Amino acid sequence: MRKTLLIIGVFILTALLLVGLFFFAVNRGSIKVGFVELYRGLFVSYNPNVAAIYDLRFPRILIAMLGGAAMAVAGALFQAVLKNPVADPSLIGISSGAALASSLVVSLFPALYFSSPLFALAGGLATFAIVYVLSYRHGLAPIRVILVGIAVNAVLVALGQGIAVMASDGAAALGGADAFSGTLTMKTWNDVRLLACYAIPALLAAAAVSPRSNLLGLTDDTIRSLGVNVVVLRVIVSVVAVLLASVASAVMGVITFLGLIVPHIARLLVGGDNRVLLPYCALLGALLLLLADTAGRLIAYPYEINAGILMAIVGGPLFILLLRGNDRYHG
Amino acid sequence: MAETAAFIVRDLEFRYPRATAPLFTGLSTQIDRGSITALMGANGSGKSTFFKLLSKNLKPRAGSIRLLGRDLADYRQMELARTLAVVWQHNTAPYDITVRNLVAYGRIPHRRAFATENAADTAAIERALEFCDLADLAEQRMAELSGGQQQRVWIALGLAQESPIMLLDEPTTFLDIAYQAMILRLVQRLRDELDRTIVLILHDVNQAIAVADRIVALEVGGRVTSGTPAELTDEQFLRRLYGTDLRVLNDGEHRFIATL
Repeated sequence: MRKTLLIIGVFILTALLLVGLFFFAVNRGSIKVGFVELYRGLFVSYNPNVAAIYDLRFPRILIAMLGGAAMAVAGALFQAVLKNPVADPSLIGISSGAALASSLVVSLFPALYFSSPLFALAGGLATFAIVYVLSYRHGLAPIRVILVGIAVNAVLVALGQGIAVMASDGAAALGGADAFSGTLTMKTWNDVRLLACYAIPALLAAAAVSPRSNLLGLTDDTIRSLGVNVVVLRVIVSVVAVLLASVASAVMGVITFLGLIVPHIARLLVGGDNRVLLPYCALLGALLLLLADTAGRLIAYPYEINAGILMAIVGGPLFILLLRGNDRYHG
Repeated sequence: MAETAAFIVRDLEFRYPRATAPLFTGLSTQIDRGSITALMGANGSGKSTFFKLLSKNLKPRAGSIRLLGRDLADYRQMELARTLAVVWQHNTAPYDITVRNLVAYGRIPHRRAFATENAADTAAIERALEFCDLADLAEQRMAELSGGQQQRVWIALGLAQESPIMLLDEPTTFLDIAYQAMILRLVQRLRDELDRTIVLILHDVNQAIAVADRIVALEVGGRVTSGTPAELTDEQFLRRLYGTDLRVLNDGEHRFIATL
């Protein structure tokens, strides 16, 4: 019982921090408004400052929260399905595959903008299939998945950069360079709608599969002897994970390490049961990415540091720490 | 009429995809309800393969396996899990799962997807924990338990499936001798007190002849002999089975096979 109370406390605290950070982020930057002014501007009467905040800041804040939640939950699901504590959708190329596919489609056929997450999903699924098949040899050794994923990712990033150079007008013509930098600037309400349309159903799907996804901690033989079709289970969980990572990458570009760090911190705080872990990952992922984006806006003001860059700077060293300390997962 | 045979195996043939010859052909045997049957044989004789055929993890090339009077191939996966629990030798558990939550997975075959634990589930879980002497450890994490305790949890998981038949894959391997004895006594109690039909692979021949009612011995080359431990602890037969000379010692009550 004490443990349950503790977990509820962690949830409430994180939610409060997220709400606090939300209001902080809304009110930081070149335009500043008070809380009352903001409330009146939004709901009572027109205020040009509030309108500017509504059009410019709200979208990026909401995208950071939704996208962060999606990446974090995707990471937790990948770690379960690959039986690999250091799996991360961006490290093993899923994000790059998704971002490459969606940016190619959007730049060549701009009319398809709203269905770009579907192409991202196709790119993500193709990448995941390649990584899975290439690293499968009598089971999935964690380190082989990472090595193969890093190689696949390198090829995809290079492809994206090559295409961006060929489209001489650069990032404007083709999302190529943009797609891999993980930035939240210049986002509009259209991007919010696009992300919400795909990410919210995908997050609900993740919640729905969470009880069964717990079984993936057992060996395949044992799962099968419980009457559960392991292949179907694995495919379902994988598709949900790839969908989350792909949609987030299509809208935000590649954000590294978020899908790795958040589930790890979350496991320390609320434990490894996916029924609790996944909702908490969503909350903490939203908090962490919004924190990175807000910090990126402020530390070198008036210049902006991409959230993706900040995540990589903080995430890289943490990843090494995790690699060194993950012995307990092999037991 | 109640079915007296748990398994009836007829003319079973199996060959691995890239193998030149079948592992066995014409394998026929019967496994009775309420008995303990041990699979014996040298490495490569196919006892693990036979075990996987019985648990429907492999499909035979020819022949049939009938489980409680019905063709094994006709069982749906969930239905099979209610009829047959398999405890595998190699297991992993999520790092922080508690004993009780792990044993509760045994109720999955009895539940619809998304349904929560009902009173029958709770009762079955508690009975399984109690029977395997795990009631005091229920809230412990798996990672904190000894090897012998963990093995009892895996057996309790199979027990919670409330299937009439249990298949155990080398349940004593890698355990200290005290734990081996404890597990073997547990297996006997499963038969005596719960009327379970048990089929197991035991690495140690002496454990097999001590605990089993019947032994199914697979020879390299595909011949199968089944009989009581007394019938099969014959020096000539053992030489054929294992390809080396073994002595049978007898203290009047028990027989032992000496390796040296």
